Amino acid sequence: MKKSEKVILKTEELLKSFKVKKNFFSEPQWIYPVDKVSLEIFEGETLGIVGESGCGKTTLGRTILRLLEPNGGKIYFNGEDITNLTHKEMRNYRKHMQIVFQDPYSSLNPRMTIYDILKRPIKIFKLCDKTQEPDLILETLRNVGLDKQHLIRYPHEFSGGQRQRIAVARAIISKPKFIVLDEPTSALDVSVQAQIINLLTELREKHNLTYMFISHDISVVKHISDRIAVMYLGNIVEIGPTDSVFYNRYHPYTKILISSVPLPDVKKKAEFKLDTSEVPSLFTKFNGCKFVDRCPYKMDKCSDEKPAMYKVAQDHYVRCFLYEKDGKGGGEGK
Amino acid sequence: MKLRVLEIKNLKVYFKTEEGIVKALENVNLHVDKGEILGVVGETGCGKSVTALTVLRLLSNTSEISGEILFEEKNLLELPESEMLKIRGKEIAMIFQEPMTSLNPVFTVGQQLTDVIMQHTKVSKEEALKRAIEVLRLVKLPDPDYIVNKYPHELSGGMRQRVMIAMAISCNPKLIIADEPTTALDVTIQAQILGILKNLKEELGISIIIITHNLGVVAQLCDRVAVMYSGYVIESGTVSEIFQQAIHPYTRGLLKAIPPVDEKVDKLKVIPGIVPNLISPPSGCRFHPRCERFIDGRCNIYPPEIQYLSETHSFMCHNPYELL
Repeated sequence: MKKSEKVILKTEELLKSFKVKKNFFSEPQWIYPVDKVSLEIFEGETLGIVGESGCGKTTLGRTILRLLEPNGGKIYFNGEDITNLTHKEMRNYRKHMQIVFQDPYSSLNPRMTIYDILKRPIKIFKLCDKTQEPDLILETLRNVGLDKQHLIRYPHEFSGGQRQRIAVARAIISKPKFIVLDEPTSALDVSVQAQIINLLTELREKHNLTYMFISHDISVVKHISDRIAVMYLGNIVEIGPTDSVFYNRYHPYTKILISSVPLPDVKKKAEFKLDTSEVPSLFTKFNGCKFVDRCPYKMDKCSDEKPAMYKVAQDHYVRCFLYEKDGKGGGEGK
Repeated sequence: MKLRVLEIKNLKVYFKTEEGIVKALENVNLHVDKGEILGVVGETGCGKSVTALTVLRLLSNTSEISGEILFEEKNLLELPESEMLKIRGKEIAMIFQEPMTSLNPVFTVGQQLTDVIMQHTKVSKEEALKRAIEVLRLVKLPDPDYIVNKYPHELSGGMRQRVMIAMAISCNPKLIIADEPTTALDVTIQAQILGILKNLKEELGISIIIITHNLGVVAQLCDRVAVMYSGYVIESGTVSEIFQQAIHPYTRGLLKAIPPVDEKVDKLKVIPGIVPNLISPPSGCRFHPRCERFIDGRCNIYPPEIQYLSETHSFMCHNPYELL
């Protein structure tokens, strides 16, 4: 359920494109990993973003934070339009919009001690004066379950899980309102993943944080998210409260995606369907719905027209013509 | 009496390195019967990949190996390399985690398949190509006669992994060892690959060892499971025994650490601490520093011995949980 009505982050028809060559000899073509995405994230909630390779979830996370420059559409943070701010102007906002990356082995500077890594944001955002610095650093480190003796060490002296804790410390030290977590536990073992997930949940409650949690691991996303958005080839195809998306699976792609997840439950044995459909590449051009070639429910109009988002339940929208009669076009997530 | 295809007894593997001796495997015991799928589960540093590589004698010569690996009554550790060459790829085949780095990028799929087939069977190039197309069809690749002329980079990750499986089954092996075969793949592709592996077992009677950290894959695909921790198989049994009647604290911890799909919990149960250093592992039971059932004076001094709860369910622990 939405924790509050206040919108922390909003995008309107956000577009991110790249001009790439499919291979050495071909002409460069445009691909749209973020293809006019509109969404709203409410204060205090965790929005989970799931999808497979090429769906654009990582690109979306980075574009929202302007780590990649958008090619169209708008981004609003706390109601303010940050789409075209200069990098200098963005500085003020970056204090409040942070990121934790997937790979704990490459996201920490190997030549800096933990103290130095945590000192950086203090310096950049002028979080406190020099005398208060050690206290702020130690307090933040303790918040993520590490301690004083870790300050003088270098990243390579820590395990993956510990490094990820340091990455989280770096993200929260500026007391942000919004954090993009891009596959924060995918590179970690199951037992370590549980530690990091518990830490993130604890910090969220303690500091009233808002998370955008990107992951391909559906069971992790289900555990931590209030709402889930399912992405496919640059579009959100379904968005709604976690349980509603997970159990109802309105969109045909959501059905395939969630039923593909092997359950660690011996009493519920799945039938492995031997179909061979795969996600088309981002180079493929579609006049209508991008899921049309794989969809068991496709109708004639699906190849020619692009579906809008239709409301199927409270706060729950699906981009599929199957639901056109039930809902009206428009609403959140266009 | 089930036919044992592979039996590993008291396997010990140490590696000499500059920092010291890495005690990767201390006392590994496991077996695979004909036509069954064994899941080998564990986290970083448990030794599951080393075990797989040792079976096929693919380790470097900085390794010290002792114990027995019995394959059809022969101890693989005592075979000369010339004999091992006849086993690798033919009797026992392996599928690796990253299909891009295990397929040769400068040869077509067809060339790589026929290479393997002609290496192990006395057939002509035409017959080998026919067989190649046949196995590509078996793994449900669309248009196999078109795929044979493709290079690995022209195929998606899921297709490449299917090519790897096709290569593995091309010479009718008795056993396939798959090391994290779906970890690098999307979940929908993973479901397809797992379906293919299940099919291989059911229709061709091939035994499979699947190494994975994904307990969902294990629950859905495997008949039996061996749970590894820091060089030991700490618990092993049928998939029902492990998921519903696990008694080793580590197995229980691992099962509880997975976010449950059908209920809402606030906090996930964690196993505190991190996996041990293999150069200077903890004394006695290597899990003792993280164990909530730790007995001082016992667990930190004596390594546990293998015990049996039933014919299929074994464990190594001084103080396991009571059976529910």
